[in-house]
Amino acid sequence: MPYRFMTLLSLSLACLLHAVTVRAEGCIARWRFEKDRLAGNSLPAAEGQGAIQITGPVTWGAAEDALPCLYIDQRDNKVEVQGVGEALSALREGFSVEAWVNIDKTTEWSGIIGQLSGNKGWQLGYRQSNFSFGVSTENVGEIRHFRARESLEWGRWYHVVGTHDGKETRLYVNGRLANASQACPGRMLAPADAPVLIGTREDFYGRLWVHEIALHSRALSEGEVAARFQEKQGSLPTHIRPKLGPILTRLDESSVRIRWETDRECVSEILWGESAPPTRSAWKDASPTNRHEAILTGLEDKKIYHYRLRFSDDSGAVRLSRIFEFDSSLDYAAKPSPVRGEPFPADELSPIYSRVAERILAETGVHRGYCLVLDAGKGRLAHALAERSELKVVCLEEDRALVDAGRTALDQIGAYGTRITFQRADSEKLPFPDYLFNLIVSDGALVSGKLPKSSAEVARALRPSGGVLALEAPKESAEALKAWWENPSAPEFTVEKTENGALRVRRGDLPGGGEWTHQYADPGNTACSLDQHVKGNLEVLWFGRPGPRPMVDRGTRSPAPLSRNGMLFVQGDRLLFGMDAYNGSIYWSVNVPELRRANMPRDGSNMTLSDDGLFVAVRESCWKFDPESGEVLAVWPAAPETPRDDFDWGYIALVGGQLLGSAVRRGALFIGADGEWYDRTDEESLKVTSDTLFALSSKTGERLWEYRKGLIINPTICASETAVYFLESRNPSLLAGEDRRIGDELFTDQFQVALDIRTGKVLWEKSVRFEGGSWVLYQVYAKDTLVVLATTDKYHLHGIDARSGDSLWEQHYSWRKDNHGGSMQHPVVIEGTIFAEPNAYELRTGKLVRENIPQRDKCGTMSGAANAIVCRDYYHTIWDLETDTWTQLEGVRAGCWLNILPVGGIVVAPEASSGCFCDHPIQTSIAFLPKEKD
Amino acid sequence: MRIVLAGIVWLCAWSATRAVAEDWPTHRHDFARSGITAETLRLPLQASWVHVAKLPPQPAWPGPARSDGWHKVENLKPRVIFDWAYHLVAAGGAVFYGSSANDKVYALDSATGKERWSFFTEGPVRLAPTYSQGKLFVGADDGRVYCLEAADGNLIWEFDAAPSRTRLPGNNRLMSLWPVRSGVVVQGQNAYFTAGLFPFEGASLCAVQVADGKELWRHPVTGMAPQGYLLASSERLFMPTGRGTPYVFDKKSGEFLYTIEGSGGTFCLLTGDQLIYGPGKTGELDAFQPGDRDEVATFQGNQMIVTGDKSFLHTDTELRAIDRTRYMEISLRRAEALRRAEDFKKESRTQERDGNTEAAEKSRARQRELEAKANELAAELPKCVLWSKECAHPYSLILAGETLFAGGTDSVGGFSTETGEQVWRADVVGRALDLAVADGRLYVSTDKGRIHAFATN
Repeated sequence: MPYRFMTLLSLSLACLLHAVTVRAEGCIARWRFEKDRLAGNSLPAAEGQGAIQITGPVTWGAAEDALPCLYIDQRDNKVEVQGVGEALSALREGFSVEAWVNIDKTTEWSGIIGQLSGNKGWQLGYRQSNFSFGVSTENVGEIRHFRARESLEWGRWYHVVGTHDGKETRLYVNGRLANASQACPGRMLAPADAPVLIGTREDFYGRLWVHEIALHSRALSEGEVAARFQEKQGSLPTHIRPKLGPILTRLDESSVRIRWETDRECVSEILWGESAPPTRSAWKDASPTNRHEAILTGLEDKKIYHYRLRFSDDSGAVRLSRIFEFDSSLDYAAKPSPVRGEPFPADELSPIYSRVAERILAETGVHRGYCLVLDAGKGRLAHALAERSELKVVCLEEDRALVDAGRTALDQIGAYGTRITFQRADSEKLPFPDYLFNLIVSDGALVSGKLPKSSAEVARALRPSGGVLALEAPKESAEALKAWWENPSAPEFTVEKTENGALRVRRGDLPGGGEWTHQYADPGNTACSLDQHVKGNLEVLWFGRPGPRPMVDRGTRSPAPLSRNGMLFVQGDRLLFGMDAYNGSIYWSVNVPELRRANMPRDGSNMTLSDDGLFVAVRESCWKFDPESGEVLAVWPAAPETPRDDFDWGYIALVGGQLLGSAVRRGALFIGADGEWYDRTDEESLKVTSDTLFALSSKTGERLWEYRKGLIINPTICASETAVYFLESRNPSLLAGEDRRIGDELFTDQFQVALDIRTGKVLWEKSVRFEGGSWVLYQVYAKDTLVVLATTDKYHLHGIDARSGDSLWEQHYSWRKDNHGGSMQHPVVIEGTIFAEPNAYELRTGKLVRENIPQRDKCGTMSGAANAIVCRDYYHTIWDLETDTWTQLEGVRAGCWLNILPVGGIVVAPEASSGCFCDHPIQTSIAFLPKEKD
Repeated sequence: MRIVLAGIVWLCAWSATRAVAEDWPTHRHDFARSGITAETLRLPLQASWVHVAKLPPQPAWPGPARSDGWHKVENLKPRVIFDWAYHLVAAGGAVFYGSSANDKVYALDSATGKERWSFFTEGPVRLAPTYSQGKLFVGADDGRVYCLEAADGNLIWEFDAAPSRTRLPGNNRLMSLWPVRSGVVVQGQNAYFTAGLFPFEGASLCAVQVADGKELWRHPVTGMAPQGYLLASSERLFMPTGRGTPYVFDKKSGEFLYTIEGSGGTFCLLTGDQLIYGPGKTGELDAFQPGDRDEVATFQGNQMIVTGDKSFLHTDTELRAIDRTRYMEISLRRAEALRRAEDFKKESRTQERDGNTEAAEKSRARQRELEAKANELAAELPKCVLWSKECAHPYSLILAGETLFAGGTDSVGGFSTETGEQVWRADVVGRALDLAVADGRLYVSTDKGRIHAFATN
């Protein structure tokens, strides 16, 4: 009897304990996405009630992922939770939803799991690049979403938890509180008529891997969330990335080269396909190596391909990279089509043409761009040059019979139109704009001693910054050639050779031509190139590719193009182009999936330019590209002492031989992958901050110094030749926290700092409190003066002595509009004047010199030359400062930040209106010449 | 006697296959760009010849962005597609086209596909020539219009429409800033075309004499970026502008009259003076009445054929026939209801501002009534569909007799106008972007530079 009593008592206690445990747990259901547990199309709960119904094709995680998971792309499938409706409707004490997910690609809105009926319900998901949790309650009818500040990273596993306890709604990411709000009190609503869906929200379909999802009937505590994260995070696959790359280069219309490097030698493989996730092995190393290069062929035009890298990590385990996307559209020639065949019968001139063409190419070093052949005859020299180079050759010939013969002969081998064309005209007045040709030669001078009629015309048409006139005139003496070439008013021309009947003249940089090597022109952020030539009205110099498809959507306020020495560097959507600024030739392009930055007003650019390098921040490193070829020359990390995934390379600038950089916590940078516009004061106006600022040698990458004290506000970093300046917050709670995309809290414990640029030592620092900066906060340096611009409800402008940090002046004025960039304008400093829309002030004194400068209609910020400002009104626009003339170039519009550059005596405007729904008739990259020449 | 009878029988049989033999003298047959010929082809057609152009087309413009990020619109449709294939005209026993790759105009023998002659211009030829009375008229990116003898390609005259001879890199080629990208409309003794591209560099509508190319008038037009085929009615000229909206002119004087609303596109056709154009950003064709700027009807589709009582249109996946009369009638009533609703809306705002709350409420009530009415009418529109069939030929559409021919990827198909059933198909290489029927043959031009000819066996 006592035994039975004890047994009953034990059993009762066990039941009671179990019930208490369940109540304490409050777990409604937990699902682990393991394919082995699938029964038909139904996945039962691993704990609690309910099951998941899967309809349509789905993909289960590959073994190499080392994690059971389900890949959801809701376009073709539907994943619905059944059997939990009652439990959700009965919620009283609170609610938690928990998920382990890996987002493959974000979208405007998407759900991880949610139950929505119209604007009521709840959802754990993500909005653009930020996780979010939304609830609607009895007190507040409509659903409200609360987002994490930091950007999520594609292809990385996250623990995401949303809780609501009737008073406060919280969002946790990886065990850390990401957002908390009391804006939605009351009992959470779970609409009975709405299904519980995984992986979708209305018509938006993100792509994600899901490992585990759980629903709880109570709000988990902060400690519980952290513990759950800690418990499992070690068992998740770490984010696998190659040491470098991947980098894709188009070889031709149907093939691509992909390169990457790994830390250790291993056999790497590419999984490739049109659908995600890709599963077909398309290429594999023949033997272990750490420098991998694959060539894939058979690509079709205008298709989106997906690929992954498979390789072993440090432990030897085989892992997969995240899924990369590749758009096969190629709207420009990867390489000029080769010239093959003999259009002209062999004769005694054949070897001469061959020899001369080879000599010209070897001596000038010009192999690409545009070549003009004067007095071209039938085009024999043109053919010899085209055959041996990548030049696009233009023949000028006035004899109609020779033109007809040349066209016919070249057309027969398929070279006419694609590589060589004829224009019937003589050389007295060349029918081409200024600056066009990389190389100018003469067939007539070679075979008959006929020198071009006008050396001035030749000089005019020769491209600055490296264009070469290469005359071969064996019948002429050196003196005759020199006499023919007379350009006293053009000091940038250098006669390199006048012997053996050969004349070589190279054109250098255009005197007075500006350059744009940083986001706002220079390290001082003046947004002015000081180009002396750009003014008055403009006419088209060239137009064409790249078009809108490879470019980033116009609203994301992407990094500005850069230009120097006649080269133009443009960022597209994870693409980098190297182009000729004077004729629009695309010399190279590379696709780097990790290359993306947005929201320049709250951060800074990811690239800068010098003579010997294009320096581009890609994730945690700076990649130094060869400007001529696009090859990666060196890679330097921002924070070499820390794990790779902790910091990104943030700020980037070049001063003297020093490469300046900053380290930004991973997740703080804006990516802008989902059609953001960044025109508001909500989470989009948070500022990106850096933990450290440092300098490397731009030649060797040697670390020269590092500064670490406060949280450096990236858009305020600027430099002179001797110092670097910035604003930072030394608020201890901000420093101790992990958020690095910060709002108005940045304006506490604020300091303005100047460092010696050679040593990183503090020159001076001042405790400051500028008026907010909720919209934007900039700093500019010019002529020993710093100017801080902050906007809250109006613009606040402060002039500071850069040598001492002493305040000089301040101005406060209203903006014209609070949309389309009206409250975010970056100032332009032209000599001693600072243009800060809608006014202009003396830089040193702050005296108002001009009110109500001409008004822009739409987005974008201005860029300056010595005598003009270019910007977007509705279309591309030039404002001549001398004549105060505002001229709009109707038909083509710019992007929503800065993409029109006055440089090298011209204005370049790569396509930046991609995705725009407006009816502006032409979307193109374009360059302009000033109509009035000096 | 037997021979005579046999001859009569043969003649009847031959006539049955060739009820009406027509030329296809300009893009989409006529200057209304109807895409309709009275000529009937007896099916099935057999492959007759294939011409492989020396170089494939080099379109001026690359495609649009994949999506509009801000408005969340995916898969934007390309709007500027007037030169993605070599557009064909056929007349006088020959087939003619211009090349955007090697700047030539070609004449092929229509029976064999062999080249009869070719002619070099000084820039890419992006639009089809126009044939008229033994002459061929063609515009090019060199800023010129050429008049050639159709028989042998000899130059009769050339007209320089560009104010300057400067050539610069544009669309990957050296070209004039005043290209002729309208084709040439020839009516009576006059030829019409546009020159120009960038509005700020100046674009003009021009008219010259057919006989000698002498200029009749030239009107600069503010804001116009002309790209696409010029259309002509009895009194008007209509010029598409690629991404932008069409411009309307008085044909006699060249005076600019007005522009039309809409979302851009280079597919345009006229029915009377009603203009239908598109396909905008996402694949819609809008119809506009003469003098109206706002559309009166919208059709989901890429291209359209309009006959007296029926319209045929295709989308990316479907081919359908609609009762045109009924559709337009409902659409006009709906458009009127929406216009009046808008008027009441504006009126209510004014009344509200003036403090006349009661009147404002009445106006809003009327507005709601009219909007409800418009919605009811919109619900009636699908009932106008006579038939709808799945169709994998979304790129081009013409009508020859009772057969619709439509171009797809590596395929061309024939479809019954009565039922929409596919009654014939053949393989081609590339996307079949242009079709023409003339002289007993179907001609198909693809984006790979192939011209396929099919004829009744």
